[in-house]
Amino acid sequence: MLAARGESTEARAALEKLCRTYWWPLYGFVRREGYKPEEAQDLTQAFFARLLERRDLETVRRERGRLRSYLLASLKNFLSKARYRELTVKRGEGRPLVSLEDLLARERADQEPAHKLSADRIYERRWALTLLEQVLTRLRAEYEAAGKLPLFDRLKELLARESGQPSQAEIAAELQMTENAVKQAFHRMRHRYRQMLQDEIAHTVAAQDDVEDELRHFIAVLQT
Amino acid sequence: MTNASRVCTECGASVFADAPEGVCSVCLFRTGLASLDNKDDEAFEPTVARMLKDFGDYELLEEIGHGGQGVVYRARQKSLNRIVALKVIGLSHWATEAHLKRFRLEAEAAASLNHPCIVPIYEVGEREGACYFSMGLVEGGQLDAVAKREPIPIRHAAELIAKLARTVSYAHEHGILHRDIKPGNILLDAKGEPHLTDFGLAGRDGEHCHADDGSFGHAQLHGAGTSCG
Repeated sequence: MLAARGESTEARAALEKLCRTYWWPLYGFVRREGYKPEEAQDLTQAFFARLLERRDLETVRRERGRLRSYLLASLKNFLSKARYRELTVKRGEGRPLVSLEDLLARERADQEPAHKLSADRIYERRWALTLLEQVLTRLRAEYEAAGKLPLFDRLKELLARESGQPSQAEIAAELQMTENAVKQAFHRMRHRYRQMLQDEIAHTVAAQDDVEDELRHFIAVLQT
Repeated sequence: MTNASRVCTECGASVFADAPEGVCSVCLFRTGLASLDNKDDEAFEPTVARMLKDFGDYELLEEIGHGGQGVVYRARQKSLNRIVALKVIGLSHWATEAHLKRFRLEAEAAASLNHPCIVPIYEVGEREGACYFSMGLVEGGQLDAVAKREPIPIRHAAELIAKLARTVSYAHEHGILHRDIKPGNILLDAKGEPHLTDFGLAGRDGEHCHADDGSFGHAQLHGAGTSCG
């Protein structure tokens, strides 16, 4: 979030990028509040548009806040006002940040049991998964660019340390590497993954100290 | 997430079809928690199984709760042959020094209080990289769970609030701010008496508040959020 503060063109671009990245949790919250897909799409886009107009993320930094909490509180307030105005948000209000194709594609893939999870829970869960997805996508892209996608695909499972996964020796045999080379490769991948994960979270919190708390929060959210 | 595709063999969390890369998201976040400086997690990490088998003076009987602040076990204290609640942190690779420090502060805050409505702390210690404290076991359940099962009569509810208010006042008089009072942190004993627990976010008067779950930050941010739209 450091880059998304202030009023420069760069700050606006950074904020737009954050909005595009984290629209899925916000959209999920709106849908769980009972809006139809079309209404939820309009409301989500309009919310982003107004958020960008205000450029008040400085408030988050001042109050040592988190983008995750700030956006949810802002969205709730926005929706309550939208209801009060009997949904005067018009189709296409504001410049769409998220393409309709993206919204619809994800809509079809959404699988939360709406009857079991509250809107807040859906939001928190999706936020955590979106963040993780961002990191793994970037990590995968790095390995792909280096021509090491098969290595990524085998080692990613070891990141979670689940039992029953192939051993490093088995991966070495499969990829025709030495076991020591696989061990080194995994060490580098785990290190890079942690760096990327902590960097990604750092973009959404005001202080570096909050990164650890966010990680613990995500663990608690996904465990229950 | 209609149905869990499988259960993670490492942490027991459900792994749903939308998990990024199909890997357990809880475990991935835990991996992210470990210090970037750790050269090899496995070298210093005691396995859960080994710790459960031998925890010094305590025989761990069953897990009765867990969260961001550690795991709570129902345990038997061998030397005194009594059943206690044992809160442990550091059994897995994601407990960092900062979290252990906060865990110790929780124990110290609660241990400095002596009140019938505050769960007493018996012992604080460390064992093989794990930090723990034992406390009184209150087996009636958390207030939120009890209230969900059956409505609490108004008179009893009022009595509970009065007792808790006096308890909180007592803590404040001793310079301790709980900072996370909620039904889930109030345990009821067999007689329905309330006991305040989980001082994980507590601090002394004047200390900086730092919430794990963002609840405090969220309360602050609610005001900020109302300015948008």
